[in-house]
Amino acid sequence: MGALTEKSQEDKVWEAIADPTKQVLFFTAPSIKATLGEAFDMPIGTNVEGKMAAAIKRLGANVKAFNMDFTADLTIIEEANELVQRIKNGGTLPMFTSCCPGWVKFVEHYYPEFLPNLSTCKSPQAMFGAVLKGYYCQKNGIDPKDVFVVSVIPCTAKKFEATRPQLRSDENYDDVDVALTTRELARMIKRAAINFTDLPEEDFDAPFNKATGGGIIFGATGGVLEAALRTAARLLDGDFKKIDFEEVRGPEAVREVTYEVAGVKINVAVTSGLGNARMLLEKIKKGEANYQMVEIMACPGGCINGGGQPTRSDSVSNYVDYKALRSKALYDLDKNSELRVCEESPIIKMVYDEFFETPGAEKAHHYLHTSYVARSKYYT
Amino acid sequence: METVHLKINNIPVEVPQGYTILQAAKAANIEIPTLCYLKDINCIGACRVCMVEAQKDGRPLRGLLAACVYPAEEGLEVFTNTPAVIKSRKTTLELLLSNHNKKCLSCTRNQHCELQKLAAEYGVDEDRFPSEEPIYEIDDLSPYIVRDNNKCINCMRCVAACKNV
Ligand code: SF4
Ligand code: FES
Repeated sequence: MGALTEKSQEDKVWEAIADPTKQVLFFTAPSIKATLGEAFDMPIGTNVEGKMAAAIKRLGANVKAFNMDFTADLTIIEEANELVQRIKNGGTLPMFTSCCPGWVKFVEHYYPEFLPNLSTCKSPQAMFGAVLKGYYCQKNGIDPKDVFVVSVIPCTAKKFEATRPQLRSDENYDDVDVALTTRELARMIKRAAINFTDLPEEDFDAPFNKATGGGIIFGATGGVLEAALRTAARLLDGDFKKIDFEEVRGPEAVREVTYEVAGVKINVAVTSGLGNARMLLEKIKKGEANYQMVEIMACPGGCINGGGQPTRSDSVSNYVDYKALRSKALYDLDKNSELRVCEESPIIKMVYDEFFETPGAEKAHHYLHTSYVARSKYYT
Repeated sequence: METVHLKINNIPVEVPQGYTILQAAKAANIEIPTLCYLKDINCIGACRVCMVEAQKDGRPLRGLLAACVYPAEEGLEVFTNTPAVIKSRKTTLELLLSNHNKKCLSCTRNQHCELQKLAAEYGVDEDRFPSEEPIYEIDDLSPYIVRDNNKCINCMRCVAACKNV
């Protein structure tokens, strides 16, 4: 009924767009293409990637639209590498995914003893900020102060994440200037009087315009783990062929699977919703489960069901499986992608060759990894 | 599986034991409006918008029933749209609106609001029970979320979502 809302940051973005000295760089999270259409009365689960890119580019002459699925790929490269290192070198296991700031902050508040289990990889949002203000600015000879980075993300937790001091790759500024929810982007498009449903389908702007299926499925529960398994398995066994890890998808509250790759047993678990997360952590604490990798998203169903997504009427919330419809849009895209394993992306190759060197290298560490803090149980 | 047989608006329905009237109605494709109900998360009968009339063995049950929490019982006859039901829903909505901040135009839920939609459908008079102007201070301490209790209808969904998800 409007009692709880995100704090709108649209005005800051309009100001930046009106400032001719600024380049405004947008990027959209994997889940947004599967949900934004609902704000324009399109059927649930419509993939609007092309129209979304077209709409963002029409917000201003100094605006670029990039594809955050690319940094989802990048996250997997670093995270799969981290997993394999942890397995080979006896590091802390299970490794937990760290791309959901709601989940990360939950661990910081309630289970600080598990902080070493969180992957040190930044989230795709944070990695993109670092790529833009680090690599992109350097490559194009731009002062990072002249770019204004806007992410479009599924939740308010990502607004918080954008301000985490631990994520700054330069201590003087945030890598992401404003994080907008799907709803806020929809409002901006409406205010700009852009007729969304009639837009042509356009590509994202180069150079960050393409991604693999592995990056695309980040938006649904199980997607991060699946993409990581595709890459990690190939790191362990060069001849590994399997791409679809269907066992980790799907609606069951907790999915537990064991894979064997090159003689190494990998036990994985996936869940979403913090109630389920708590249950899983207690199980691990009591020694009742022995996993190598665990994926957790704070929102039931993952980011496609994030708190910043278009609102639904009760007749949809209570009676339509909208989570399945939205996820399907992502899995269909993955299935039809030419490239489905993150390291196959030519953009990934480019950024390592030109900037980050190799996965886990010092430079990659500086820009793409982060740290966590224990917090008190109570808000102070 | 044990089932129960009942009638909703004279339509016979057979549903598993343990279903609520609301679930049974849905199974028979009969809509009952709700505000506080959130499937699997919040079923507490708080808003009283889902009220229905019922009778058993030819005798009317006393008072109206909240369909979202009242169990579908063997032999129950439920009526979802009687004049008493409609009057009750309308009054409930008018009461909910009595201390609601009704600045709909600038509200983020404008045109996507269940309360607004029901109010229009039931032809409510938003000023039938005039009250003081909004009294709660808007809480915007958090950099990310705003809480405006003048819009709250005590559906308890936010509490349930934090507790049960
Ligand atoms: S799972 Fe929810 S809280 Fe976590 S990143 Fe996705 S939308 Fe945000
Ligand atoms: S929906 Fe039944 S009381 Fe609110």
